[in-house]
Amino acid sequence: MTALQGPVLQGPGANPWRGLPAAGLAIVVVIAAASIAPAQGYYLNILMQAATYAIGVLGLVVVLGYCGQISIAQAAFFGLGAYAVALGTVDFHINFFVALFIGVVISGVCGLVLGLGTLRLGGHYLGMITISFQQILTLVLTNWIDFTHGPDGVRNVPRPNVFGVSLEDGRAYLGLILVAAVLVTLFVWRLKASRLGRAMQAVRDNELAASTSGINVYGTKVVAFGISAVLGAIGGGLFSGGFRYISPDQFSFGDSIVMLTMALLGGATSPFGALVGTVVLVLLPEWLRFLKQIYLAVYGASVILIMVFLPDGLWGFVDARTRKRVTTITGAVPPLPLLAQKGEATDEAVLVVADLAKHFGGLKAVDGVNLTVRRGTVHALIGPNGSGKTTFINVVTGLYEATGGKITFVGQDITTLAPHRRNRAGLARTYQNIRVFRGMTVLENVMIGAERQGNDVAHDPKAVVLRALAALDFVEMRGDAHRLVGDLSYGHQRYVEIARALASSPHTLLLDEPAAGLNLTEKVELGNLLKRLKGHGLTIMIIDHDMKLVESVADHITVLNFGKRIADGTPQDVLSHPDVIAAYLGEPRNEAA
Amino acid sequence: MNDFLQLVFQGLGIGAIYALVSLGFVLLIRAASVVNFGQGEFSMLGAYLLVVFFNLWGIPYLIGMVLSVIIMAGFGLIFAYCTYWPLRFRGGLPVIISTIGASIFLQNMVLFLYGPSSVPVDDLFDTPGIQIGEVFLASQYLAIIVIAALLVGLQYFIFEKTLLGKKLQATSQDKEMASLLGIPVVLMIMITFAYSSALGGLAGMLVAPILFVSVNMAGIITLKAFAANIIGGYGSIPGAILGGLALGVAETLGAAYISVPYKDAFAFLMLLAFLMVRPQGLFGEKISEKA
Amino acid sequence: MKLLEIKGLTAGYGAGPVLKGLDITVDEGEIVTLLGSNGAGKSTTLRSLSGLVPNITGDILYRGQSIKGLKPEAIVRLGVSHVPEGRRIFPGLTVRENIMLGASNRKGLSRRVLEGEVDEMITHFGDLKRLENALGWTLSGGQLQMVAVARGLMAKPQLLLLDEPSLGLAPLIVQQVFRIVADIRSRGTTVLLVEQNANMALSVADRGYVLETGRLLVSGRPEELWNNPQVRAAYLGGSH
Repeated sequence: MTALQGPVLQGPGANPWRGLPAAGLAIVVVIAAASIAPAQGYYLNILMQAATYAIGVLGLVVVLGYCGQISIAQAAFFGLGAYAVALGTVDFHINFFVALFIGVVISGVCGLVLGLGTLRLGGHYLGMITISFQQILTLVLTNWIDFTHGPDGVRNVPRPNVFGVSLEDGRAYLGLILVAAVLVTLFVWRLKASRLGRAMQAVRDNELAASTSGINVYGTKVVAFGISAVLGAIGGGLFSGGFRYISPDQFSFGDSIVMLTMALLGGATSPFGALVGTVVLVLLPEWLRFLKQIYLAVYGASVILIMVFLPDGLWGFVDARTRKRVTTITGAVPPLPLLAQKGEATDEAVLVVADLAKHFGGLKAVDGVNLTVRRGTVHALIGPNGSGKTTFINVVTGLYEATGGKITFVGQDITTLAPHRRNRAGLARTYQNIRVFRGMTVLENVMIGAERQGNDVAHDPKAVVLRALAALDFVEMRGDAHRLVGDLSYGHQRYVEIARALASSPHTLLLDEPAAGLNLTEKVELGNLLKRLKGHGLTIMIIDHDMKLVESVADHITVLNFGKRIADGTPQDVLSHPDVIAAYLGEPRNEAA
Repeated sequence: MNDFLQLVFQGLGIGAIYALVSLGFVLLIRAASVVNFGQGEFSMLGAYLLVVFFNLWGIPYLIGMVLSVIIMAGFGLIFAYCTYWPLRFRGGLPVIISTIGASIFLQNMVLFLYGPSSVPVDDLFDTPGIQIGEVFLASQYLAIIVIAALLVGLQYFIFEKTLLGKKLQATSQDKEMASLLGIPVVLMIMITFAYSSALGGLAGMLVAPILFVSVNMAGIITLKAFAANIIGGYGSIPGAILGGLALGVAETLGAAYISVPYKDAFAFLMLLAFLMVRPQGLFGEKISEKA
Repeated sequence: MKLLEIKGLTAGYGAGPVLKGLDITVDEGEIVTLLGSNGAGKSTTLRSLSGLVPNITGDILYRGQSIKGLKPEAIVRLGVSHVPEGRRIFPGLTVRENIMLGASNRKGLSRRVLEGEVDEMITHFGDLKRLENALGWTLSGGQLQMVAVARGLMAKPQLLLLDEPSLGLAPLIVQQVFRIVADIRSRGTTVLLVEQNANMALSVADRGYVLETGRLLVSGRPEELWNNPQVRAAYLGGSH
């Protein structure tokens, strides 16, 4: 590790103190600002509203901006926090912070239950279920009059004491809210560059690739939604003390929509965007008051205009114009440990697939395939389009549940394991139609691989960066480390995908049509890269239609047709097999492909 | 038992309204991949147009309705031009937000012009209804059910049997490819918005005598239509209809036998139950992703 | 006779031009292939031709008339049909419906005639008969390519733009695809073919252009390109 140099340490996640000085400064500034704020009245309320909403909206940054899940119930979680504080202090005479804590727990539990119920399903289902939750909560708050005081709401919510100091004064209480907002902002900002935050973003950008890169997709989504529910409740609890009067209509569907708009308007992928969006949308109606009755109409129109003219939100607009060019990380890093190993092909069976079947309704995509992959070999799987090759890989990596049969990997039965568990056992893959995390940089993409649970460097953030750089060195892409992977060409994205897999120190690597879309010379380069990987003990399974590539790297070939194995053996035997020629190769030994 | 049948009939009538609005909703999802949170405002505007034409200007009821439907179709084009067109290449979420902006804008414009109070509107027919046994079939509910059935049939025919329907679907699934084949993509999308808005407006006019006309009628209709869409199966036309009817019946029965204040909760409880037990809805989603 | 003439074409999508002053001509009845690595601008050339790239300079003449700035719908009505990269079969429509929509550029076609032509096309591509009512998303790569080509031909094009038809296909299917390309030409349609599979492309083409970072590197007849050492090293996988 002597090669460690200054610039390398600046990689994301490397500095545990990152942001703390700025946060400390911000706390001093907000307390100073609070002390000169008006002690009561309209403007104080506006400031309190902005700060407490900001905390709730920061929750949306986590669930929507980072993790890509649409939640339309942030006002409901906000309301749970607010009602816990109001009812707890007024009706049950509990300490303010205890009541707030209860609200946070209730809200978090609701979030977890809703999340556990729907987040297994993809796409828009969370959005839908949160709408229902929001509506039901509003109805309960309005109609359960004995407990919630109904539409009349709760009055005279007290403000707390902190270390014996009463925050009854408006300015003092505003100070508390602002400090909380700064701390939550710091937390959300730090989260983004953390392992969990990267996992969330990976889930947002590509769930399948995240799962086969060792990320527990479901768990990550549930946690993100849980965090957003908790932050919502904190914001709401503080709101309750600020306004001292709450009623059900403050936490309606419309308010959830407003919070969602705040997040998107500011730029949901950044906590600072959320702050900007919140402040603007809290102030916008105030600025528009001179328009009298139609100010809300103008507000609605402004939302459309901002969406149209500022595509990445307000913060995105500012950020794009002020972002500094990130310099390339220089300095040598230790090469991939794999390359230091020596490992010839052996007879030891690494992956044993027995009678594997996958049926989609009546279609038998994989129909009783037997196959053994031996340690250190390159094993090619070929066959006509639709013969079941990709389905086979998808079943082996856990994206599809097997209809029948057994998969044994390094002695362990993995037939029913989740994809991320198989990845943690050392099974890595790439995809036919490249699956990278498009909203993240090249380095972050590869770091996801390096920090998979069970990898030797996983628990050391610095080592994760170094391992990721080493993998990028191997595919000769270090120069692009800080570029967004979505901006790269197709061929380079393919290399990022391979680097991501290699950084996870896999035991076995499955490559699904890595040469598709490459020209002949690029294919030769890919072949050379595969040859460099050979002889180090890594086991490789490759699907490709390029027979030159397959022939030049494979030790063993299996051929599928209509979901069944039609040939299996050495390249020479298989490629001259009459069935293989008839079903797949066509004219014997042609120069095609 | 007769009470029960009476309630089912009423529920079907309300459900038919949800189904109509939901149809407009589904159409925009299928033809333009737009989730329109302003769908309920189409209904509200349609209803207000009827109020203006019939209540204020004294134009005959049916002529007023026809005029309103035509104006709503035109309004759909303006709506598309403002909320969808500038954002069409930017994915689903920005368009959702801009339709939310439009919904806030429209509600408050109407509030500014006509104030917050509800306006009563006459029924479509003078005859109150037909008595069959002990069940009374109110004419307005009958009209809603018949018109909904006709429109559903028409829409099914267009989507499944005509080339226009196929072109609309192609446009929704891949706009660029559709344009490469010579399908006039812009026209397809405009047709969809115009039809969807007219449909929403018509639903608003039909329900106006039952719910009265107010700014707030939009919000709850949007949400119910949305729920109907999911219960039926996201983006499915038969699903939208069945989902809407089921929702109408469930909440009418729920309000009668269980609790009036929680009437609106039944729709959402039903939605929750579906999401937990059968998330693909009654008819499922047509396209699934291949890994 | 010149069917298509591209003069000094510069085009891109914002972050700098992808094409930098490209000249290409295609004569009636030819198969012309564009070769080059990823990002050389081959697909962008085709997309510019069919009106999908908004900001282009230079000129594109089709039958002597400029088609620069026309909308995709208008260009396909002139008889230029584009089968894009990735096949782009409508996932929620059936094979039959996909193929039927290929004729959307032809005005005044009665439904009966259209159905007849679709039947003919489906019979012509033998394999498609049994898939007629399968939804797009259920097809395999080779099947998708067949449907995409069939759909492109329904436009009755004089010029067919084919983008990477062999991508991801098994050798047997690749041979079939190139037989179809040769067959299309023999029936009078001119083909502009973008391919990574240079061997196969040059085996059917009359002429080829090799692009490098948006510029023309070299052009000529297949044997000239085969014998050009620079081309061999960069695009044909070194010496043979």
